[in-house]
Amino acid sequence: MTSLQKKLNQLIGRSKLSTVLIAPFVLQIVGAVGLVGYLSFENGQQAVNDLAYQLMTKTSNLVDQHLDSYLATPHLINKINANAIKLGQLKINDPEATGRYFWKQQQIFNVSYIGMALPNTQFTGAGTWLKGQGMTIDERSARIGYKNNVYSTDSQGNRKKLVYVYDYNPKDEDWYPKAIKSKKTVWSAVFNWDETPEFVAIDAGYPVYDDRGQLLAVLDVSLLLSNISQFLGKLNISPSAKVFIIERDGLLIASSNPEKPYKLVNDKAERLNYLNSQDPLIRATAAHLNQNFGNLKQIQKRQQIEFKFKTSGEWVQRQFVEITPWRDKYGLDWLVVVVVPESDFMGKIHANTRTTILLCMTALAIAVLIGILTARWVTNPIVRLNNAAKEIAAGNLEQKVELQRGDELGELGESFNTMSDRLQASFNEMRSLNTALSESQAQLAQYNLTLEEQVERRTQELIHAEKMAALGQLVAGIAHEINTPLGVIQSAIGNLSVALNQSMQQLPPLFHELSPERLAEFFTLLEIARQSPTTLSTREERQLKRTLKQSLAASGVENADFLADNLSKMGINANLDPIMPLLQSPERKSIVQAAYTLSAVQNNSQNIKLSVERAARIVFALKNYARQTPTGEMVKASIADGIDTVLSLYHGQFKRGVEVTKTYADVPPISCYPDELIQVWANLINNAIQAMSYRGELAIAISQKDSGVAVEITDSGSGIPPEIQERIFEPFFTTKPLGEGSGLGLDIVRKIIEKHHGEITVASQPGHTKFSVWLPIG
Amino acid sequence: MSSQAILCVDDEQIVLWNLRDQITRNFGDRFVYEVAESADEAWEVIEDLAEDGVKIIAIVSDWLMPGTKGDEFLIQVHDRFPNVVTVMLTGQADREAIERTYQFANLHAYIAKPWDETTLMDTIRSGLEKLNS
Repeated sequence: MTSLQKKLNQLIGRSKLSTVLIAPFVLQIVGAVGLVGYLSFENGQQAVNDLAYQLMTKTSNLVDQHLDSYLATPHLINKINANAIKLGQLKINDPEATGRYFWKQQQIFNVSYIGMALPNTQFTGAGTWLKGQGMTIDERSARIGYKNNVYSTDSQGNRKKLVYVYDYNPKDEDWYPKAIKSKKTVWSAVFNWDETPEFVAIDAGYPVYDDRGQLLAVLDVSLLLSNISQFLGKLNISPSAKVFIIERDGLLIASSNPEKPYKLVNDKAERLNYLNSQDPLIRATAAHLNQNFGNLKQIQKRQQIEFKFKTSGEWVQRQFVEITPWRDKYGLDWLVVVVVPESDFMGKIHANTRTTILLCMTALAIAVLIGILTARWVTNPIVRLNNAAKEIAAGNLEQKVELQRGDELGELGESFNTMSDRLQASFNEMRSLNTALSESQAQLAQYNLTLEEQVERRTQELIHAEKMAALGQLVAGIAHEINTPLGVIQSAIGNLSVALNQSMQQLPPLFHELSPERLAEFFTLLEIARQSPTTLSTREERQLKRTLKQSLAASGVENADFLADNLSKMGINANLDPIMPLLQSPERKSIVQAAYTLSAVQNNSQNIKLSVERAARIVFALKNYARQTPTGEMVKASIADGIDTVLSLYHGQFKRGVEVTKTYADVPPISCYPDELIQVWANLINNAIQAMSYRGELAIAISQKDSGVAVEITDSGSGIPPEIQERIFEPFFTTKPLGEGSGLGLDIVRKIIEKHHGEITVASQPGHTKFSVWLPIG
Repeated sequence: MSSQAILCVDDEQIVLWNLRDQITRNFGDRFVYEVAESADEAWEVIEDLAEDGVKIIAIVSDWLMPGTKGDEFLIQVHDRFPNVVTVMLTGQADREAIERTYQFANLHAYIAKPWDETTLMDTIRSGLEKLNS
């Protein structure tokens, strides 16, 4: 998707539905109407152009024709008059006749003036120029002393009376010398009449010669150019159009503008340049032409140009200009200029444009209205559906949308209602499910609570069981430790009594029978036996027995086996030479028997003593242990005492199989719960002994470390595999077979140490497992 | 010298001396009497006696000893010498261990420490009579 599409989608997505529906509708109509309006305007413009140029061309042609005919007339009159002279119909030297003739001729042609000058300055003519006198006849002749008399006339052309006299020499006029000079019909320059300067005129001069070529007269017809202006003024081109005629030097000949084509300077009339026209449009056109062409003489054929000009009170608008050169065969070379403002034609066009715009607006308004209605018709149900959906979203599920329509929106409404119903049903179902779930949850929580209580109780039971197990083990050990010396004492007492009885029986006959030498040797034997070490191991005793037997046999003593057996029991390993005679005597068996019996008395007494000491030691340890009743308060206690108590109580469990090395530094007593710490030592020592299978080395070290006491219990057992080292302090973790250990021992140890703010760590490798406990002195 | 022996096994020497005295007193020179402080040593004794052509007929063993326990030892003995009379004499023993010994070592009797001399001797005697019958 392009970014443009994205932006468009975003724009549409943000707009309201009704806007989206109306906007394209309005856009279409605005586009169509605007296009039609623009095209019609353009067409109108084109038509205006065409029309303007057609009109101007037509006007120019009309002016051309008028000029052709109007300016041809003087020459025609001159020709007629020349012919009349040649035919003798017009007597040039009869001023009366020529005056009437010209007066009559004026009735036909009605030009400004018709006259005739002779080389002797005689002049006659007729024309309407003197104010209030109508057509007058002018005469200058010898008979009136070459004055210029003006006579009023009646309706028949008869002179009525002299009304005006003035001084006028026809030879001074432009047309006279010009005509003589060119010897043919000519145009004078445009000029103002002397007597009536408002009369701008042009004269056609015509020289008449006799057969010999002598100049007879010069004929003259004067044309007032104001007549051309009047003609131009009457041309109904368009309201503001201007037509004017200029000479190539820019001097105005005639203009449709009702202005005087001259101005007075020192009471003399001066012709007006079109640049100085009073009419702003003519002036603007003049400026534009001068600027456009530079020199008007360059214009050789019809030109059509346009320029922009702002007439007062109007806006800047186009001005159509057509310039047509006009010439005649007698030397006139003028330009006919038609200027038409566009506004003359645009009025209608503008009116049309206004109508178009109005129609556009109306169409637009209707379109928007229809669009709004349509959009509303389409969006209303959607808005209602939307509101209903919002209500549902807000939790108000009982929504119904009644659209009463058969189209797709109607179907949508029905679908919506169905959906709403189902949603409500689902919601109700969900609510009931939720309620059930809440109940279940509550129940579950209850179960959970019960379960937690049970777990807690069970854990307490297990901890208790662990304590009981430890206690049971302890009690068993103690029972064994006590029972053993008791058993020894009991049997020793029996032995003693038996030995005494036997001695009582054996000794008197022996003393009676033995010679004094043998008797001395007997006492020597007893002394040797008394001094013999009593702590021979069974192995050493067996070895001794073997040695004695060989030695006796080597000495040739009989009953060596019996003798060696009893002597070894007595622990006699000394030189037998001093008693050899005794051993070789015939009474040797009864002698050695008696000696053994007597030494048994000694041995048993010794055993009773040892056993009593042992029992006393156990009782002392037990007393120590029992004294550690939980008080709930920390007391100062020696760690070494606690460990020794445990060692004493467990002594029976390792006995000779375990070599205990104690390295106790002199450490101060610490604040602790002694009973709990004893449980720690009992657990650790018991574990160590079990790990060694009751055989190996147990090292216990106590030292001061930082502000606490460090205890290291090291055994030479098989060690703890690395993968379970981290788990051994977890509750219920055990490597013992199911049912033999709760797995709580080390967990309890850890808890007790934590309670003392101490630390316990383990480092183990086969043959060397060390539990390190650190406890603050507190 | 007798060719039959009674062996006492206990990790307490004092116990062993007492036992030997009591048994010697009661049975006289009918048998050879040997003592051992552990199961391992007991086996040494058994081997030594076998070399001398002396046969073990009865064993009195403690239960709680370093190394091999009494029940285990008696079961091993029973495996090799099924006819030997076995007596367990102990101050403390696991009930399961005793039952195991009854089952696998054909234990003749279990006697708790401290023991009564007459009872022990009668027990050994009854065991030996059963053997001879």
